[in-house]
Amino acid sequence: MRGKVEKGTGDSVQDGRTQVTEDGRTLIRLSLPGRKMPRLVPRRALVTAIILIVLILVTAITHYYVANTQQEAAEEVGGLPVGERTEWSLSFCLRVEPERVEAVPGQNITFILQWRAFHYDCPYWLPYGRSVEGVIVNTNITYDNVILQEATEWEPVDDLLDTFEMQVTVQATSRDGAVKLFRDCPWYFDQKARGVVDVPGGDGDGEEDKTSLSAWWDRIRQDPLATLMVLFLIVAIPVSLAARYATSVKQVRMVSQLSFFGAINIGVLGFWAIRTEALPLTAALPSTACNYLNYSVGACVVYQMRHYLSVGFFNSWMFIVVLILTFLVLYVAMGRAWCGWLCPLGMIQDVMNWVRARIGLRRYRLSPLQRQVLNVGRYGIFFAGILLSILIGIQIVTFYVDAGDVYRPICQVCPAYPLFTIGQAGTGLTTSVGAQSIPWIALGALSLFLFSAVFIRRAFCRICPVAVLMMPFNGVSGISLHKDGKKCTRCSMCYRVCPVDVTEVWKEMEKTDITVHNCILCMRCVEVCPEDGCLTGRVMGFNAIESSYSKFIRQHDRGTRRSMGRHSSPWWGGKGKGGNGPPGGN
Amino acid sequence: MPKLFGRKRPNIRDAAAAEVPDTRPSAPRYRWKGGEDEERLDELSRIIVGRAKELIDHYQEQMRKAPSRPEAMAWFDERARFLSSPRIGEIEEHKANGGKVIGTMCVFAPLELIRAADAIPVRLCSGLHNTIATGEELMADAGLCPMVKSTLGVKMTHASPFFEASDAVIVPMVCDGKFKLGEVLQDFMEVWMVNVPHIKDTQQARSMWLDEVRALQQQIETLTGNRIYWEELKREIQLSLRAQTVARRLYDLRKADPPVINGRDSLLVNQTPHTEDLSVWVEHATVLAQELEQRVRDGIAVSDPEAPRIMLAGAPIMWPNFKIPQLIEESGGSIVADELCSGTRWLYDPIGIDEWIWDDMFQAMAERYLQPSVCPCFTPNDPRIGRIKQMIEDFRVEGVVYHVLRGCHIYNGESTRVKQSAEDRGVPMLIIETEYSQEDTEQLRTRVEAFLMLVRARRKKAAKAKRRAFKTIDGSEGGDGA
Ligand code: SF4
Ligand code: SF4
Ligand code: SF4
Ligand code: SF4
Ligand code: SF4
Repeated sequence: MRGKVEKGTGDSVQDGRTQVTEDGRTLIRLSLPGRKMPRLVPRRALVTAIILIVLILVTAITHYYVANTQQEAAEEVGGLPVGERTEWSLSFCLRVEPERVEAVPGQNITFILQWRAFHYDCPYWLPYGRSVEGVIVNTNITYDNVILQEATEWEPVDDLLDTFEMQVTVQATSRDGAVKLFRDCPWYFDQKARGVVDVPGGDGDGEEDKTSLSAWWDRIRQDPLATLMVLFLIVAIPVSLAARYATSVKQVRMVSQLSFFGAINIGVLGFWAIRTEALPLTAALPSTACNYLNYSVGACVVYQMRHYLSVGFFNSWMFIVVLILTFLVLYVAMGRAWCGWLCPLGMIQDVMNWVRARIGLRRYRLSPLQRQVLNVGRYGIFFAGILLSILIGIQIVTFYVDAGDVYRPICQVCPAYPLFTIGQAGTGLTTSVGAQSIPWIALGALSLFLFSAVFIRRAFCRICPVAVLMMPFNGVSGISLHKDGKKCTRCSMCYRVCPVDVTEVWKEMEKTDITVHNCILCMRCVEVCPEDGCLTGRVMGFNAIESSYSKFIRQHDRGTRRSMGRHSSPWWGGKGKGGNGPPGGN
Repeated sequence: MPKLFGRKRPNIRDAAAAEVPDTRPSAPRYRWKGGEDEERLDELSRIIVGRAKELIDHYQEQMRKAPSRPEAMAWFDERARFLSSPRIGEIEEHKANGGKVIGTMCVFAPLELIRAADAIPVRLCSGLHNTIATGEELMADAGLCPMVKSTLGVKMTHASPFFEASDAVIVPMVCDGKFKLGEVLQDFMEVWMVNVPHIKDTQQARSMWLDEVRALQQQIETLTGNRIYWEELKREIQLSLRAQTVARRLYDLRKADPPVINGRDSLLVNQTPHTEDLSVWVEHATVLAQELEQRVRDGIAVSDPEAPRIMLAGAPIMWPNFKIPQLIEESGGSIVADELCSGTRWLYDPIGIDEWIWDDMFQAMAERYLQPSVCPCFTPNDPRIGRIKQMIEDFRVEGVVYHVLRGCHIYNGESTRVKQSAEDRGVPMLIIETEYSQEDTEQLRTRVEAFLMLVRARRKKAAKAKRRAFKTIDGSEGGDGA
């Protein structure tokens, strides 16, 4: 070896640390600092976990209960068991657009039906119910490839509410070989007739022998819990693979967002949910499952909230329970990690940001004032929406206004509405009812959304009213962000990379839990912080990700990584082999 | 993947909008003796260079004498000969080919931009002590920092070939000394003053700093005649990142106990890139890092394992003014960490790129110089104290030597607070206020030795207490044998 300390330089040589070689020289052995013991599970995380498990159980039980009663109810009313009939009668309010249609009784008339069938306590009937008074008897209605036959007559079923009921016999065909009505209406629980119509020659005519496999398949598709499991797996498998092989958290996050988007859209694309009665029950998700989509999995939280505020809770307490429980499960478990890791609207913004960076356009950073204004706007939209819903509920708005869009508080300014419904129609795989009644403000919101998402990171998320519901849960939920202020060099990199410009992560030096309300827990800051152990992302109290220089440098180019050799520090778990040194190195 | 707007520089508008202060050299306006008397100047220059060479030889000899010095230090030794280093030839060749050299001071000049414009950056803060008298002829402030006067003197006497080669110098307005130095230097060369915001974490400071760096970019481009494009900037940022990574690897290696490299050597290694070609430095520093890693595995140390682990903090110690580190290590201390802007801080903080587009790269590069800097010219400067505390923990420091250049008020003003917070962690601190001159060496030696004894005594006491604690817990002798 090259150099050794001469014997005698250390006059107080201690046991165990030095060793004398044959040639009389002293070698000094190093005692290296060991790794710290992993921290025990903090109490808060345990409590969170227990709450979570209880909630999942309760939710699962409720889901089963609701699914069964619903099935019973459907059969009671003469609703059709899935997949067996081609005709049935049902009652619904009919909205006719674009122009009012008046028909002589007995006359056969064919017109475009906006395929929007509403339940009697749907808030939309109010303006339109009156306008179709007393029309259509004995009518043929064709819409696309759906044919409605033998509509009988309109008659008010509820004097108080002044509603109408229509009896029609429906015969349906569709490209997929099956059609499901009323999916558009969130009230589908009490729908008198729901069901899927088999068309002779379609893929399932109810007659075929069910092999055990397909029976099993059907069973899964109709089981809410199994559906949840499948959805979970669709997200979990790619994410765990990505967590193993991806080089950055950013990539894992992208995989998570994309697979979740895929999962919830399996229904939209018609592959999964098309025959699944249970599916709509599976989740109440914020802004995902826009209610204006056909076959979407789940139901938008905003929609449920304002809808029930408008129409009351009388017939649907069970749905409310399900909604609240799902809501709690999601938020208690995830907090705003929902926004960072799953939300499809967030994903679209991230993708657009990525595209912008690839093109090389500059990013616009909102000033603190602008951020504040948007944040106030978030609360403004939220509470205005609630207020409007209540006003609709107590029939004050209806007295003055006779226009449909007002009856869709929040949804009318939601860019997800046009974005996803147009998107769905655009796939051509299913028709999209919602796309035919997009509020103009929402269209404006969409164009603003698309434009700003290119230049501003997570532009819409600064104003998204859904986050109002989530923000209180951030920091209480199982996922949190921690900082060891002693290790921070205040380099402000964490602030620069943050998609929502959280300053606390950079400036906070005292507190250790820095999960602030605005943080979407994307863990990008943890990943770029160059200081070993400065920032940590915790899941259920366990360190899921911890900042380190090796993580930092791994994200930069290969050329930079070469100088790394092993990990940044030879004794901090660096198992990699030595770097390929420079020419002339050993 | 090449960017759509790769070749075009997306920020042309910004750079053009940045207002460049007019700091072209004026004809010498102020009088000093050597300025008029060429012969005397030559004489002075010769004497200074001669003395500086002696000093450098002296320190290098001392450093070579230390036991088990890493072999890879040879290259750094050669390069550190400063006034006769082979680097001078390289720079002259570069200049002969029409290249430019841009001097920098402190740690705030955006080196990546300079290199991207195909110019060579050299740090000009001087550690030569016999140019101070000359410097005082134009800055006759007895209470002013010796580094500033020495730097000025070097320029006045044309003693440093690096200074002579510089076409312009970037002077950040950090402390009073640098501030006035920039003004005086305008008699001699082109000076680019840079406004450094002293409160650095506000939005307005961030945008002001970005504008300042943009103005510098424009000045650099005008001087060199080279436009800086995306590719060049990316290349240079990656080079910097490589260097920073190696520097951090070396930094981490100094945590070894007992140390595998001397404090002086390490300081020298960190100062070589002030003038060296960074890519060459990376190669040699990597060799050094590999050697040191081997040492960690083999258990070879450079000093007595019982030597007190000292951390050097405070005002910059520029080569060849190695009086203090030399004293400490001669007296049996072992400098395991330093917090000097001429030491680890020069390359410690990396440039973190979020998106490889011009704006983000530029911002990341510019902010790297401002935000993580713990130069005491900033306020509030708690992060510096926090950093020192953390280093005390990471490097198992047992005593801090706080070096203050007489007249450096920003460091002196923080010394008491640093001292208190170090002592709160049970680590004694010695404040040494000194000049460049060698006169007080013996007096300082006495103080340093006394301090090291104090550190040793404390350690013994702590070890005893620890052993006692171990005994009470498990009845056996405590010890940290490997
Ligand atoms: S329009 Fe927006 S708020 Fe309304 S249901 Fe759809 S996603 Fe939810
Ligand atoms: S803030 Fe709203 S749009 Fe953004 S990710 Fe969260 S839920 Fe989705
Ligand atoms: S990136 Fe890490 S070190 Fe830098 S300011 Fe943020 S927390 Fe501190
Ligand atoms: S603070 Fe960190 S985890 Fe939170 S949003 Fe910003 S980058 Fe993501
Ligand atoms: S401590 Fe600050 S002001 Fe002094 S030389 Fe270093 S960077 Fe410049």
